[in-house]
Amino acid sequence: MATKKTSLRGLGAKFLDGAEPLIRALIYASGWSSIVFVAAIFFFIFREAWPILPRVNWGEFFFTNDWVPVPAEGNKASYGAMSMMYGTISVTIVSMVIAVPLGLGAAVYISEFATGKVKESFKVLIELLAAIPSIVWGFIGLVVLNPIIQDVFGVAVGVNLLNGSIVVAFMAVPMIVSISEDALRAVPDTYREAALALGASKWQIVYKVLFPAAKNGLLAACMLGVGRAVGETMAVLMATGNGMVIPENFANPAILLDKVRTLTATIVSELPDSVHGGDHYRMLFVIGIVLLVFSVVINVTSDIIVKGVKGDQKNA
Amino acid sequence: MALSFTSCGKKTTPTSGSAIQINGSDTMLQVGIAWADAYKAVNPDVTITVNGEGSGTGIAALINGTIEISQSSRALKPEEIESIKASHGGVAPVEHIVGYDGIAVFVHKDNPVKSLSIPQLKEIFGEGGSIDNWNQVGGPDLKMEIVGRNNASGTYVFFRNIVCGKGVEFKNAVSPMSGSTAVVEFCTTTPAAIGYSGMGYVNANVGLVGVSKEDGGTAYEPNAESVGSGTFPIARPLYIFTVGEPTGATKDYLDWIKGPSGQKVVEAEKFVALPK
Repeated sequence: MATKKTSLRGLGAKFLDGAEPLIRALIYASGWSSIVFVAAIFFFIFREAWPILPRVNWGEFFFTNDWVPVPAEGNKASYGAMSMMYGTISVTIVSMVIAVPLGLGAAVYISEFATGKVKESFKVLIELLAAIPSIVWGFIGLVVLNPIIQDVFGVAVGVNLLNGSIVVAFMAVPMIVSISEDALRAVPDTYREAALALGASKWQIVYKVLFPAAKNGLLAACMLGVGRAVGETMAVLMATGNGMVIPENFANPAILLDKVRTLTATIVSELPDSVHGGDHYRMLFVIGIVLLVFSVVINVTSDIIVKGVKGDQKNA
Repeated sequence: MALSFTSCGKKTTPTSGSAIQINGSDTMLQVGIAWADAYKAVNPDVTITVNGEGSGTGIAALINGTIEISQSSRALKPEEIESIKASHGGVAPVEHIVGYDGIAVFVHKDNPVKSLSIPQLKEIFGEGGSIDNWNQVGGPDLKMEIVGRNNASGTYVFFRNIVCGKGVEFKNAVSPMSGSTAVVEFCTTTPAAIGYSGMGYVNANVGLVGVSKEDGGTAYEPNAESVGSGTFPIARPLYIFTVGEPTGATKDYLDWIKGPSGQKVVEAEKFVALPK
């Protein structure tokens, strides 16, 4: 028996030795595939938008608010996307105002305060939260939050900027929590012990020692949350009310109760009905380019911030 | 939005046309599924797959040759006819009218306003229109919450053409919803709501207003009689497009749809059958 086992193991090892170049090639391929996918997405979106790019009236696109892709007889189509950009930006900002404190708070609690079973069950529950499909979140916005907002604020319609932002915030929280928690856990215990030895309270440890030490990870977590908010589609389509109006007074908090429409919601609802290869179809891909630019800017900014923070830490 | 339904028959040797792929209008998805389901009893050897991803997507699939039948709530556009010819060796698409649809104007069930005229609807929905409060049409003092379909849907274009007339767009205050069901759901839950959608989506929990052609004219609710006789002012044909005249299993299926059994399904799905 024993000899048989050894020989089998030897055989397996031999096979693995022989397969090493193959396995190495596979690992290389999976590494490069992500770059290939990103390049392919850029290529596809630009290819679909390309024919209309020279003809796009960018002034109209960015600074007017009439999105009429299929005009009435005798009129010209117009593609003013300003209200959608306002929609995407406002949902992102409001949802992050809700999600960042909530996410960081939960991460601090799980990593520094909770222990044993509580800690484990929280982690599992938050992973579960991340697994809820976006259409279900949209449904919660439409069916649960809608009447609550109607009652609390006494408004006729409860699907609006606030509703969509709450929904998106809850979708972003699990991501912020799990990455922030990793970042906090990565801070060596010696830091905590040193602070304790100096007589720091738990709160002082969190905000004077852990936050500065885990800056990079926490920022990355928030930036990923922002990316999630910009790209979210189905939930915002259902929960924001899709109004294509820009508020007159941004200082008025009542704009939280306005219906907004995001760039993503426009693409998902209009693409199926557009004439494929027509101007409208291509303009929807131009919106796709704008979204791509948004996410590239977010990623690059977060990279620069994180690098800057790193530099500071080295100098300190 | 894209529900899919497959009607699987007995497996037979696949001959050309024994599987029919269908895609197109969101409005016609329900009736498309019901046809496929009923046809299973008539000819179990034909496998029919129905999707409702939008009229434009259905026509694009026809251009690409991935489907046999495209269901549509709008007519073909000239550039689409050209694309179909270009990709099918000059064969032109054929338009089949398989039923009629009235576009219902929905409000909240408790709304006391029971009828509106086309000129009033134009003031409500059309750009520059003066009506934005229910008290201007005999209702309570309540700001209207106006919703519709997305800016490219067949229903949107048709309703605008009839209600707003030539050269007039919708107001920006008309919020595009994600689909017909969403419009009806919005009007069910919002007291100040007004919206439009295919009459197939009428249910007991939502209010319906009658529509008259002129101010003071007789108002009709969309039903088989008013749409069939042409007295309901916002009615349109339901289309099926094929590339060239259909043959084989597709022809049999289309003949069945236009025949008495298929038209019974049209009525059961709350659309209006072809005149007998």
